[in-house]
Amino acid sequence: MIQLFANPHRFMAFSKAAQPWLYGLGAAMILYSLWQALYVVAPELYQGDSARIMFIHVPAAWLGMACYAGMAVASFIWFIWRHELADTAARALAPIGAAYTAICLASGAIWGKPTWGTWWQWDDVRMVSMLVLLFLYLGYMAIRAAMDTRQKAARAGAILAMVGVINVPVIKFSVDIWASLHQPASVIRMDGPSMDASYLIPLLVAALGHTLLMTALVFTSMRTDVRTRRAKALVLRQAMA
Amino acid sequence: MPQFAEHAAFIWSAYGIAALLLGGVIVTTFIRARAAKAKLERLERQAEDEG
Repeated sequence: MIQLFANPHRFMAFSKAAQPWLYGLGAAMILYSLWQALYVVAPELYQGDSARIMFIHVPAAWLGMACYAGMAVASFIWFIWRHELADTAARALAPIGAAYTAICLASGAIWGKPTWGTWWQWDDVRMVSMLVLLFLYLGYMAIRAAMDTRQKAARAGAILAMVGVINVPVIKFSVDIWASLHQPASVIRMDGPSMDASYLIPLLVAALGHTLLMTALVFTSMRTDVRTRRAKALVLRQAMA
Repeated sequence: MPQFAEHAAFIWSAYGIAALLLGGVIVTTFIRARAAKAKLERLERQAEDEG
């Protein structure tokens, strides 16, 4: 699988065919979940209408963590095999993961006010570790931008991505280990989801839709990166001729 | 337009911020993609003309 996508020509052909499907299906699923979230599902028994924020907050949290885990895996592949496309993938994942993490933090604070009576709690490990994730994304992008060559940027970024990934299980299990205002997991649990199907299905559709959109955006960014490198190579060849 | 009683401001602002951030990422991604594609095509044409 790694070898299959290591070839830029093969990746360009595959991503060109996959992109319209990913964007189309992703958009359709997100629109369906929005319609369910805002018009169809009943207000939650204890939280009332504010529980509708869940349909953006939860997918954003999952994707914020998934993008960072993806960055760490891609960085590891680059570090071991030096596949340039793996570095391209890690680089493409960073701004998208940062956006989803920021959405999770903002929607979580907004949801927290009517539910807990506060926007933010500094001694809550779930909230603070999610904020650390945002800083890791920003640090990753800043450290790459600060390097003068692509190799140095890839190396520094890969190290930060691989070290920082320890924060992902901290986020996931923080609510089980430490006392938290945040509720425990209600979907990804050993004994199955504790949520009613009328909430669970639109939530899973929203998560899948955002996953497809994220994958499409990563492909578009990777294609841009491949083209930018080809353009630089052409300029160099023309300058040497 | 759905009515959400006392939670309307919270719900709309959460979705509004999400739309702004995601919209920003999508627009930036497409602008960069278009610019890179146009630049590569121009350079390839130039290389063909010279070669």
